[in-house]
Amino acid sequence: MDRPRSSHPGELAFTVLLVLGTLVLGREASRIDGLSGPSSPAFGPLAMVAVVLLGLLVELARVAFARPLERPPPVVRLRRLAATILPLQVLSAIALLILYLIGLELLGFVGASFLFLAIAIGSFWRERPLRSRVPAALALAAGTVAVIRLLFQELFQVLLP
Amino acid sequence: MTLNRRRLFVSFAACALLPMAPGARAQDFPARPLQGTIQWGAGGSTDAVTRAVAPIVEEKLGQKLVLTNRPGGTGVIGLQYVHSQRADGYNILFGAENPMLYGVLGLSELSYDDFYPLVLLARGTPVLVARKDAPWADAKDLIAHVTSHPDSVKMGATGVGGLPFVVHAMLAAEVPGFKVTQVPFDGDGPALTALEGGHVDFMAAVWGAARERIRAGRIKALAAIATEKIEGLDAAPITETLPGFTKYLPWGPFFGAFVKKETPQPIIAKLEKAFVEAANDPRFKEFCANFGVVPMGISGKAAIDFMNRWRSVTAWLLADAGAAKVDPAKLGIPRI
Amino acid sequence: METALGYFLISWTDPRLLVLIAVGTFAGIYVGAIPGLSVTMAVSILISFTYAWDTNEALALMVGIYMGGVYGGARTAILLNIPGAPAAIATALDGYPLAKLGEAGKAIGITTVASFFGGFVGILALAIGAPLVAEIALLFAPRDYMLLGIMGLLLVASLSGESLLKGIIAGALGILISMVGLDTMSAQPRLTFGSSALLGGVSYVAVMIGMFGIAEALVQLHGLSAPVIRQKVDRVLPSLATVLRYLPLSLRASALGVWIGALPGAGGDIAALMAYDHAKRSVKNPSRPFGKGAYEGLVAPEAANNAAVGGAFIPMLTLGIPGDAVTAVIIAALFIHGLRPGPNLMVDTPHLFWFTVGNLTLANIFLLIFGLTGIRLFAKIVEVPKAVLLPIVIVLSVVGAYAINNNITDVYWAVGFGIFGYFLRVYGYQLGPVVLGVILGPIVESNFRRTMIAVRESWIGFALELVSHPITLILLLGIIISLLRGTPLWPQLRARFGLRS
Repeated sequence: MDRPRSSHPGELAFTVLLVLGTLVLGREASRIDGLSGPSSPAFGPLAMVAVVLLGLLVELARVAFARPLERPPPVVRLRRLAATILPLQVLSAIALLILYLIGLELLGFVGASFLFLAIAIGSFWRERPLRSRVPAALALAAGTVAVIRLLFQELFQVLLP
Repeated sequence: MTLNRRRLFVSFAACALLPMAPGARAQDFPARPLQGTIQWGAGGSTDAVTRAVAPIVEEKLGQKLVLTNRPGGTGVIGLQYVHSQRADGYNILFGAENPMLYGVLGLSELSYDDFYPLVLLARGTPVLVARKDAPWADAKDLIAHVTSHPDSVKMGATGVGGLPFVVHAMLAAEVPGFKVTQVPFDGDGPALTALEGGHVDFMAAVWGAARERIRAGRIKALAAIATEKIEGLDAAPITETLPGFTKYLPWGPFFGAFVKKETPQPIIAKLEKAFVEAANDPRFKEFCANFGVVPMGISGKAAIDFMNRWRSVTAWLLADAGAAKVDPAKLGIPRI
Repeated sequence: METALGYFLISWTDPRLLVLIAVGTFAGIYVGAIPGLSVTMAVSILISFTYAWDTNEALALMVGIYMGGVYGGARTAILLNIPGAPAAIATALDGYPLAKLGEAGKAIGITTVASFFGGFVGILALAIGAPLVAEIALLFAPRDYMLLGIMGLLLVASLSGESLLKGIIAGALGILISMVGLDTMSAQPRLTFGSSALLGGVSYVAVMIGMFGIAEALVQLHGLSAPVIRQKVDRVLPSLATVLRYLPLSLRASALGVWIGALPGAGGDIAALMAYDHAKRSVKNPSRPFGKGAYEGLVAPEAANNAAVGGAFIPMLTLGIPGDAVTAVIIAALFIHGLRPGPNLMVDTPHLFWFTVGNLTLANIFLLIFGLTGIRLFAKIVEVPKAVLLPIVIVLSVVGAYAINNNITDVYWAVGFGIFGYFLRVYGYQLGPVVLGVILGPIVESNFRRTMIAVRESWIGFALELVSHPITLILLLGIIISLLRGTPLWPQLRARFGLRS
C-alpha cells in the first residue's frame, strides 16, 4: 500500500469489470451499420473502444503484478476494502440514493426528496443527540424542499416530477 | 405538502359536486395551465415559431401555456414524452416535419399518425444557395458544373433526412449524373455559416434562414424550390429549369401543434378553434412574414392530407436515394 | 461617433432600462449558480415573458441575465464542487480545493474581479474589432474546429492525477459517452442498446452534475466526522497588488476567451477549459500547485468565459450568426420582436450595436457590484455540517439534472455517473478527463468526419488539408509544440534553436 503505484484494494476486480463493460460497449459499437471509411458513424466509437480497451489491458497487467505476494486473510482484506473504498456510510448513501430514485417515480419530487433528506441528515448527523437531531432533520428537509420547489417550479417553470 | 393536500382536497370536492359526464369536463377545459413540449432546442426554428404563437394561444384559451424544450434524437424524445402523457388535452406537442420520417428511418414506431393536428402553423420554402464567389448564376449553371465534375462539388447538408438531403435527392432524381459530396453539419445555421466561409460550395436552405445573408450579398441564391417566385427573391423558381419538380412541390419543413389522437372530441374542438384562430391572427402572420415562412393555419383533415402527401414525397425520395432503413411500401406509404 | 455614443448611453440614462439590466444581472448570477438551470433556458423563458414588451427592454433584461449567468456558475463550483454551468467546470478544479482550505471567500472575490476584467476585454473587442474578428472567425473550417477540440483534449494530460494512462482511459470513456444517441449525420442510433430513451444521447450537463456533484458528495462521506473547515472571511476583496499580479494572465485568458467566443462553433465552456490549460502551461510558479488551489487556475477560466460573452456577440451583431447557444436564443427573440437579424442588422437597426455594447458594459459593472456583495454569507455555506450539506447537494444535483430537459432519464444518468464516478475516483481515475471528453468529443469527432468527407475519405488528402491552410497550420503547430513540451526532447530542442521560454 505504501508504494506509489501499487494497487488499491479490489482494484483488480474493478479493472476486470471495466474491461467487461468496455467489451459490451464494443459489441454495441460494432453493430452500428457500415464501416465504409473514417467518416462512417461506427469509426469513432470503435476507435474509442479500442483506446479504452488497450489502456485498461495495460492497467490490468500492472494491477495484477502489483499485487503483494503474500495475501492477508480475507477478513483483513475485507476490512481494508471497507476502510478505503466502500465505508458503511457510502454504501448506505448509495442505497438511499437508489431508493430516492424509485421514490421519485412513486411519490413525486416533494415526498421523495423530503424523505431522502430527512433520513440522510437524520442518520449522518451523529454529533447531535438523537432528541434534537430528529426535529432538526425534519425541519431542514422541509425547508430545503420548499425552497427548491419554489425556485424551480414557480420561478423557472420546471415541472418537477 | 399542505398545499398539495389542500389542492387534492379541493379537486376531490369538485369531483363530488360536478356531474362526471365528459361533456361537462370539456366545458371546464382548460381548468389548469397547459403544458407545451417543444421537440427541438432553444433558439431553433420550431422553438421560435412556437414561442411566437404561444402568447396568442394563451389569449384565446384564457389559460397559461407553459413551454418546455425536450430536444434529442431529431424530436423522438419530445414526441415520445407527449405520447406517454394522458390524452386529456393538457399536453401539447409542438413539432416540425421530422416525425413523418421516423418510420422509414427506423427511429420510432410513433409518428404524427398517433396525434391529432390542432393546427399546422407555417411552412418554409427551400432555396438553392451558393457561396458568393461560386461561378454559377442559376440552377442551370450549377447542374452543368456538377454533371461535368461529379463528386467534386461540396454541398452543405444537415444529415440524412434533413432538408438539403431531400432537395439533393430531388435533384438527383431529376438530373442524371448529379453527384456531389455532402458535408453534414449540426443544422442549417452552422451549414450556412460554413457556406459563407466558403467551406462548402452550395446547399439548399429554408428561405427564412438564408434571406438576410442573400440580401447582404454574402451568399447568392440560384433558385427557389417552389413553383412560383418567392416575394423578395430574384432567383427563378426551380420548375423553370426542371419542370419535373412540380410533382414534389410544395415541399418544405413545416411546424405544427398536436395532441394525442385519443383526446376527447369536445376538448380537441376547443383547442383546435383556439389554435387555428391564433395561427390566423395578424400578429402571428406578421411574425411569419418576418421569419420568412408561409403561414398555413390549417387543421384536421386538410392538415392530415398535407402531411400524408409530404410523407409520400419524402419517404420515396429517401428510399430511391438508398437512405431508407425501412421500405415505405412496407409501411403502407403510397408513392405519388 | 456622436450617435454611437448616444446609442451607447440609452440604457445609462433610462432608469427603467437601468433597473432591468440590474435585475437581469442579479437573476443571472443565481440562475448560473444553480446547476441545471441554464442561461439558455432562462432567456428562452423570457421570450414569452417579454412578448409584449418593447424590444429594447427585452434585450436589456436578456443581456443582464447572460452576463450574470456566465459568472454565477463559479459560485457553486467553488463552494460545492458542482459547476453551476459547463463554463465553470475549470473553475471547480482549483476553486473547490480553495474552499477546502478555508479560502472560499477570497476565491469568490478573485473570481469576480477576473470575470469583470474578462467581461470588459470582451466588450472592448466587440466595440473595436467586431467586423474584422467576425470575418476571421468565418474562415475557421471544420478541420480547424477539430484541431481546437484536440488542443482542449490535451488538457487530459494535466488533469490525470496519479496516472496519465488512467487519465487517457477516462478521457476516451468520456468521448464514448458523448457518442451515445442518434447520429444526425447518418440518422443512425449509436450505442443505444435498442432503447429509444437513449436516442437523445446523454446530456453532458447530467454527466457533469453526476461526476462532480454526486460523486464528490459520496467521496466526502468518507470524512463525515471530520471537523468543518472554518472559512476565512476577513479579506474577501482582492488587494490591488493581487489584481495586478494576475493581470497579464487575465489579459491572455481574456484574449483567448474572445476568440473562442467569437467562433460560431465554440462557446464559454471550451474557452474556460482552454484558458485553464493555457494557465497551467504558461504559469511557472503558481500560488499553489494547479488542482490544489492555485489562484491562477481560477483567474484564467473565469476571465475567459466572461470575455467569451462579448466574443459571442461579435458574429451575432455583425453577421446574424450566433456565437453560442444563448446568442442563438437572442436571435430568435429578435425575430419575434419584429427585427431581422442578419448581416444587415447594423444597417436596418443602427442603434442595436452600440445599445448592446452599452448594456453589456452596464451588466458588467453590476456584476462587479453584486458579485462582491454577500460573499461572506456565501462562504459560510461551506461551514454547514457535512451531514446536512451533502444530502442537500445530492438533492440539488437530482433537481438540476431533471431541469436540463425536464427529463427523468437525465436524473438516472446523473445518479448513475455519480456512483460510477465515485468508484473511478477511489480507484485513482480522475473525473475531469471524463467530462472533458464528453464536452470536446463531439467537436473533434463531427469535424473530423466533415473533414474526411470533404477529402473523400483519403488519409493523404486529410494530411494535406492540415498543412495547406495558414490557420490550420498554426493550430497544428500549437498542438505539436504542446505535445513536445511534455517530452524530455523539449529542453534539447530549446537549447538547439535558442528559443526563449
